[in-house]
Amino acid sequence: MSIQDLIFSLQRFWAEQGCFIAQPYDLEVGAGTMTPDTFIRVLQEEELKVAYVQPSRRPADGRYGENPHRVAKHYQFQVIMKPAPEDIINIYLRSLEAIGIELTSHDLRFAEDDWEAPTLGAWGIGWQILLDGLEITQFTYFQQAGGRDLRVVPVEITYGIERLEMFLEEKDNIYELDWGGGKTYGELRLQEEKEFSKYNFEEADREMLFRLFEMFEEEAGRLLEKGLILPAYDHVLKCSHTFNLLDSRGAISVGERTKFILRIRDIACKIAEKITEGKDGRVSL
Amino acid sequence: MGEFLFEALVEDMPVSHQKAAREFLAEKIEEFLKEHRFSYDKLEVFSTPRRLTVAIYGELSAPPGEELVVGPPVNLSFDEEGNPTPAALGFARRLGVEVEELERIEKEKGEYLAYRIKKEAPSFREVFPPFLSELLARIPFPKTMRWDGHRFSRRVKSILALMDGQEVEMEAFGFRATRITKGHRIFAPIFVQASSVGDYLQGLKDAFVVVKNEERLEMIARGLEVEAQGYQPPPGRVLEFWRDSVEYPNVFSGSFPEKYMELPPEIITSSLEEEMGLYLLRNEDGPVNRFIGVADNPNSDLSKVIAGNERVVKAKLEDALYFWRKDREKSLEVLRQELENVLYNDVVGSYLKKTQRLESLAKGLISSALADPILKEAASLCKSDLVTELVGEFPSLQGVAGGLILRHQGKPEKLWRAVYDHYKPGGTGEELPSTTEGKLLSLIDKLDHLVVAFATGYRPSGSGDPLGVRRAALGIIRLLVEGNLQLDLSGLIDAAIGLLAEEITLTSNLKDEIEEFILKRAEQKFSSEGYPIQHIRAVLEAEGLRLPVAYSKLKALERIKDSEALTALIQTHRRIKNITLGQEPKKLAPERFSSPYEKNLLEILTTVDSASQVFIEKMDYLSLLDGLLSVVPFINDLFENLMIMDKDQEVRENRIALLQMADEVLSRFIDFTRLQEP
Repeated sequence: MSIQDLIFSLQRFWAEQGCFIAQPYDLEVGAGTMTPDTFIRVLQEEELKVAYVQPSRRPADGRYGENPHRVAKHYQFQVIMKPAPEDIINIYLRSLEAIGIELTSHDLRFAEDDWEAPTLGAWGIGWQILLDGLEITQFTYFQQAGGRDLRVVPVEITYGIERLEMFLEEKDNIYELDWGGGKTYGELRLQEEKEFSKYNFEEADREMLFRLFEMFEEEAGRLLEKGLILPAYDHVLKCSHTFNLLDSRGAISVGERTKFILRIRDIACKIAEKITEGKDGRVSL
Repeated sequence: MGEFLFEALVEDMPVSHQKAAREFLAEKIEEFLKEHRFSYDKLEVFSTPRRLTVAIYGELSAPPGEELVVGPPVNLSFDEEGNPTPAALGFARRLGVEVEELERIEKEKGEYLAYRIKKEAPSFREVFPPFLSELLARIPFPKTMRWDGHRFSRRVKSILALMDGQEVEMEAFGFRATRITKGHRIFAPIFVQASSVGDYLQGLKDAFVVVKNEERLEMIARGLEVEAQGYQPPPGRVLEFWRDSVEYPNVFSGSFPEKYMELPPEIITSSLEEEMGLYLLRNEDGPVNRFIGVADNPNSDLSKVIAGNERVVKAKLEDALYFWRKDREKSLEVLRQELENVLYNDVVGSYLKKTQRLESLAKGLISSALADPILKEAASLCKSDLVTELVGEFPSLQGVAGGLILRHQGKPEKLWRAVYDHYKPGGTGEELPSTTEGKLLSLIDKLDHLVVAFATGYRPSGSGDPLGVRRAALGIIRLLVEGNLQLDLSGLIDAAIGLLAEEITLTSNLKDEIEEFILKRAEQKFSSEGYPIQHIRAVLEAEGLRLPVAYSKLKALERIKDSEALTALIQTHRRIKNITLGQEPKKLAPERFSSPYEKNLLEILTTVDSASQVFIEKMDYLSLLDGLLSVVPFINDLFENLMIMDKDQEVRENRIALLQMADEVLSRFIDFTRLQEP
């Protein structure tokens, strides 16, 4: 099964569970959790069933295309269901069978791993799911987002597409994976990894990034005052990515790190506050 | 015989939650059964990641009970003519009885009216389920999940409760109890119906769930005999992790390419054990490129599981090798400068500053000839590895990584070992550093941690100690007592406080608080080892922070603790004190002794006194105690045959002077009267 077939299968499976299939968000994010389809929607009152692929950028994970397992950009398949269905774990197990994994031949474990996203004031209780020792999914019951307790607990299931594909193809080099359409992962992505590693670690202009961070932060605050929650949140995401770049450029000391995280978190929490105090806790999307 | 069975089916509970939960349930249920006098033969608590099970066997019946209700004091209950007052009448009326039916009981403050309400024998079926529901909600998990108004380790899926084969009315976590549970999630996702404990255990076993923890451990042990034959067995911590992380254990082994043996075994272990739950195999020559693991899978063919784990192991070791090759070339002196940006404590600042304080404390130890001069270098470099990639990836390698880098760079063993070991002992039962310099570095690191925490206003609470000062204090105690470090802890605390005083304003009673905290921890530690609390308090009172001395005395006392010899010693010391208490020191005039009792006592006291100096110097408190015991008969002879309080003042004062000497000699050990309430 190629990467694209894997994605088709997961989309089909979760659509059958009643999810709408969203498209990837068009900004740089570190994880599927950060897109408005997760962060904004889990704070609202409505029931939610959504699934989508989200390209996720983590500049510091880049390895110039030389490490067969680590990349600066990877693909997540994100599922959010609110409230969490009673038999969600069984549904998840069936999704693995749907992509051709015969569970009785393997060792599937739910290992304690309580997920946390400090920049978003979000955390949850859950597991990393290991299949024969390989981490293929992060499974989390959200407890807080934007610093607020979530009254109705959503479940977030995040599959690592490349990890799953390596498992399915029994390969130990990410660049040899079959993307589909006669292309390998390496043919489509290796150049990108090389160039972005160089950019992330060596070339990104620190002065510009510091300025951008300030500008994005200020803009987010200004938009929030005007009640423009979604544009304000876009600028939180821009802050977050800029911070990640500064981090990979080694421009932020360990002490300052915490301060930057708190600055981003502060706006994310204000946004959460605005959403939950709105009429019926709703914003129109 | 009757029985009660309960099971909560849960979404995977972390291994780290299970042991404490089992122990908590066992302890509290036992207390409940005893308090209500329910007869039972056996109580068992089991856990797997997916279930928490309680089984109680026995009659589960209790005798009728009574409740004592205490009313007003007797002197307020009757007037001068003996007629009941309104207080007495009101009390009787509330209970619906006559005043004549009330009884009188003695309490500390006098006599009171009271009444015993007869109670029917409690029914286990009625009182236990609500107690258990409430108890489940109180299990102290390190972290809980919240859902739909409930809280538990993880989401609860259903509950089962049976008594003598019958369903029991019970509610918990929004569920009503049934007699149904489920088998293994993957290998038998079917309902299992139980009508007894035996039935439940067998039904689940058929559905690939081995409920009993010890039975899973036995299965693992049998698997190891096949898969790990000829290798050293994994330690208990690993076995317990495996046992509590699966419902149906199946041991497997695998290997990885020889080239990763270039990595120090500590780093391989971190990759394998912490992240994947695998154990690196060792033979007599050391680690080999093989590992074992335990799958939650009953199949005899685990080839796919093994191949999958081998691929992941290879990937992780490849990553670790990349970090190791980079880090091992780095200079820890250079890395140390980066510690300026690593915050240790937001009041006192960075890790760089911390290493400067450690350096100063090390200098003090070196100048008092307690440590090799290399301790100063070890102190300055010990935190540098916090900014290596290895520690970034494997935080548990802190200290170890620095030591490995220094070793790789050919630095002296005394230096690298001190850095390598300086976080030890991490917890109860963990080993101490292997060298003196390692112990001293660990000691000053922990002491600085304790002093900084207290100086910045931090105090551990009953439930929480995020900075780990209790662990630090315990580490200090173990280093001194078990590591047998002969040093002046009190002076070292002064030095550590002095260094901080240059940075921040300190409260005047800081030293007292720290001393009290350490002594309290010492008391708890010694008590947990089974020493009698009176003995512990007596030696700590006598020795204070001289913990190795206090501990040696405690051990010496242990040998004779239940003997008549000790009782005699205590009584004798008390008789002496009764006489010498409040007396001015008297001058001893041996030439005036008229009786053999005085002369003999003086002779033996003089002998024991001079020997005691040697024993104390050698910290041989067993011999000292033996010496003191030999004095006891002579003192008693004196008491039995002579009047101490003779009419003649000179004779009297001379005898008191002799007893004062005896008191002084006995007190070289401790004030023995403190060992027993008068």
